[in-house]
Amino acid sequence: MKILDFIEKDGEGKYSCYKTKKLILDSNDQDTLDYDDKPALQLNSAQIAESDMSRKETILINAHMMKLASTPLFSFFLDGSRHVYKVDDIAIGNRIFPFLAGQIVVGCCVRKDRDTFKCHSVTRKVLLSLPRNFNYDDDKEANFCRMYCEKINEELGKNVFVQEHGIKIDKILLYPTDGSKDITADKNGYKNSGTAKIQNEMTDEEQLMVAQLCKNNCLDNEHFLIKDGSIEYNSSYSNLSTTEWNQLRSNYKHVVGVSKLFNPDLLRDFKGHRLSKTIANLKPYERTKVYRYPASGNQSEFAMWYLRLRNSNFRETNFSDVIKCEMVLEEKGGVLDTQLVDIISANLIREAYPTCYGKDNRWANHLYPVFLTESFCKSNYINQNIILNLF
Amino acid sequence: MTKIIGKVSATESSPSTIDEFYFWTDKRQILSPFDIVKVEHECNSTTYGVIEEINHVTDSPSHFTSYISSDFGAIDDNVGNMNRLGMNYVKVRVSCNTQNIYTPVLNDRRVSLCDENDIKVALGLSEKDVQNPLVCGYLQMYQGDASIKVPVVLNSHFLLGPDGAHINVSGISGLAAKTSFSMFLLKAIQEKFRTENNETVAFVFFNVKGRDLMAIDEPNTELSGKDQKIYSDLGLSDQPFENVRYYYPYSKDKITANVQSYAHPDDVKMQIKAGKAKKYKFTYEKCIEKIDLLLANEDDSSGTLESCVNYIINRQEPFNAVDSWPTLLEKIDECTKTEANGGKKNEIMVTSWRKFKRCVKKAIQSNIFISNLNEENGEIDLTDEISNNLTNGQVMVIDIARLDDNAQSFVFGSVARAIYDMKLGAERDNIPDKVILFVDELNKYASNDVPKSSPILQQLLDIAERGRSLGIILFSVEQFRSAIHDRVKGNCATQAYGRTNAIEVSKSDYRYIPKVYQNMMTRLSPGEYIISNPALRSLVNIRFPRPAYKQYPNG
Repeated sequence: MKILDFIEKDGEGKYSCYKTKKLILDSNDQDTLDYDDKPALQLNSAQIAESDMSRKETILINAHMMKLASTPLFSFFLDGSRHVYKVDDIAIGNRIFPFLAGQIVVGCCVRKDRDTFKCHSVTRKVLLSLPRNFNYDDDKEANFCRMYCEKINEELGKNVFVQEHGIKIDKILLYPTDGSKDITADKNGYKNSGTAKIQNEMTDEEQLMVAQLCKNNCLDNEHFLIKDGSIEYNSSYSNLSTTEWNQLRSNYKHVVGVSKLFNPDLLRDFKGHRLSKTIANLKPYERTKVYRYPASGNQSEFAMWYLRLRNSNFRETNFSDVIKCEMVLEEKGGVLDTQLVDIISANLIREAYPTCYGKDNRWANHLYPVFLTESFCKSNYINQNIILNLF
Repeated sequence: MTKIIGKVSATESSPSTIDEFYFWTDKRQILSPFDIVKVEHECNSTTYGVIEEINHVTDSPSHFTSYISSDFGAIDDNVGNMNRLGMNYVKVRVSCNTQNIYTPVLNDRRVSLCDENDIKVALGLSEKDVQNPLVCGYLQMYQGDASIKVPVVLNSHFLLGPDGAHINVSGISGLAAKTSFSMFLLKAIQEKFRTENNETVAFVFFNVKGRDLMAIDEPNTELSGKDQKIYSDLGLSDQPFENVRYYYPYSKDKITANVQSYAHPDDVKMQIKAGKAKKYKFTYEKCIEKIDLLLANEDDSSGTLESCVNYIINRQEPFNAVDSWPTLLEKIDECTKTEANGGKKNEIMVTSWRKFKRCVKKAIQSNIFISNLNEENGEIDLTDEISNNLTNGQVMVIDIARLDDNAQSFVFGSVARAIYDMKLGAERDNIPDKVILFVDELNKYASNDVPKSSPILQQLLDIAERGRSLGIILFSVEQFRSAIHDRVKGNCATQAYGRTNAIEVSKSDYRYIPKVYQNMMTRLSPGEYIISNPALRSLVNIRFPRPAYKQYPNG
């Protein structure tokens, strides 16, 4: 029996499934939460967060630094990817909610030498994202979800194909249906709320994977990790408990978050000018100074800088070959060693070759090993036709 | 356990099929076309395949990407911290499955190199597959530590009958080593065939260039230890041919030891003294029935020459009392005269006789056409020699290298006819079961340009089409296979392709050979052949050692 039929039958009238058209909700513009777009900092000027406090707007990564970077600093590359499907509309009581399903893949690849690039670890999860009302009798949420998930898997297991291929639902997530205007006022509010739950699960998995790398002593001063996207995680956007989440924050000493999409007006420079102009005028291989950025909730501070990767006139826009780099400051008020920032920057410039030109529109500020990790993650998806046919 | 080198990759655009599949492998894994790989398949069976194509791909969708990736055209080594993701994918042609399961091999199944036994199974060379084995070389597979040598054995029933017969060897001059390969095979047959098949075999070779084959019973003193080892690994001795007789065309010239040959007169004298060599001649008396062979290269679409030939063979007036070549010419001369000039009335037109005269006169200029033959002087008639003296294990080497084209054709035609006649009707009890006729430069006798009415072509067609049942086996050699008459090469069960050129492989003869193998044919090194035989499951790239008989590198 398919999942929708099972839910209807098992619910004995609690839920009705309308079997509406199944949709794939995938392009980035549907994301409710773009982690790379933080609210602009409401400060007159930002603090420099590197050991060299000189008030220069830009720093050139020189040939000497580039030479030092010929021994690669980065050995690990981490990326997460998700697909969200709207599989039905489900009526609970007298209200109708979207019934979402998702697949998340979080992968980490390790590079041993120029030619050896392998998977280090990969996690794939198939998730259901249902409205909180689905917990019809207001049972304890975690127990309800776990038990319902088991029931569904038991039913799915009766299908030989599903059993042979080891496909199962890993987790049921319940998305909030009230409590915020974003949810109640927006016509896509429920859908966004459900998608956010799946997204949170992905970022949680990313953090757990970083934690695992640290636990296994994979990361050290000679083996850094590049995380695709921002490393500023917000505990309120997590499906983990606050305690679990707080423990994960200490793992980021050797992790650099690299974002391709960013809001150039996020910060003001030390003079109080908008940084976007400095970023746009960065010369090849130049970086901005490192600036401090408090994490939301004020639990920790980040250091961030912008770097132009390429020496070329072929860029589409002045931002297309610039990346935003982030690192966690170990203590509030701390700074990053300027030499380390330069070496990291030089390494990032070297990681920009080869390019994924022709494969990805973001080739100009994509880093090749990150692109490979992303490709690897995507290759781990279960075919979407199989997923949609479970419902 | 053999080395696992990759996994099957079946995609929408390149699926696995019954005939072929693709697998990916590390870009540094060295493989070659003709290497054999195996894949685990259903029901614990193994599918074997022969590598056809090897491609290296990266994730770069265009050359432009590659250019940009090298920092917009920088030619420094090692731009960036890593190399672009790349791998090799390999196209494999399925040769067999151990349980005859021919459903396509499945995606992600592991592909590994083979050991010697695997290779034998894959190509149909295992003892179970090959009855009546006859070694025809060895194949060398893989490189480095994994390299292995496997002897290639053919079922002699597919080479020498009854299941298939005749071999055609092609390849360009010099680089293909066609004669050496043929001689290697023939030597293996002489050494093994009788003992292992209990049948008798005799050999007739034509020496067409220099003195190539005029010392095949003398050892090759320059044979390297490596080659000696190959002979011993293949179970063969590195000794030259045995029981060889040389036949030189007669010459009036005493300085050349009365022979027309590129062989050194002293060598000829020594061979004659040792009773190994004889001189052959053609007297009119013995040749009257085969005068047609003199005209083999003449175009005779209207049949005029043929009618003259029949006239003479039937001994019609004035040829009823002719007994020698000069008299024949005189009598033909008579026929060329019109009645007005004192000639006699004749049913064939004078102009036809004149043409006939021109052709015959030209043809019998050679010293081998002579009136007297004295066996006590070591002179023989080849037809008699074949019908009376060709016995098991014997090798007749007939030297025609120094004769002109007409005489060469005549000798070849007479010998082929003599063998045919011997197998059909000679009355002696030691006629060999098989007679192998080795013809170099087959294009001279059976090319597409040879007149269709040529008696020699007809003789060759007869041998190619009916020789198998009579036990006459044709080992033919030529430079360009495409130039040979379809019915001759079409009847050869075994084909050996040596090095050739790009123009030749573009011809229709090579159409069924995969492109990569075609290109390989233009790069084969001397001593390397691509063999096709009905008993083999695939084309096989073989090698063979240098000849075990005396070589004359400068001809």
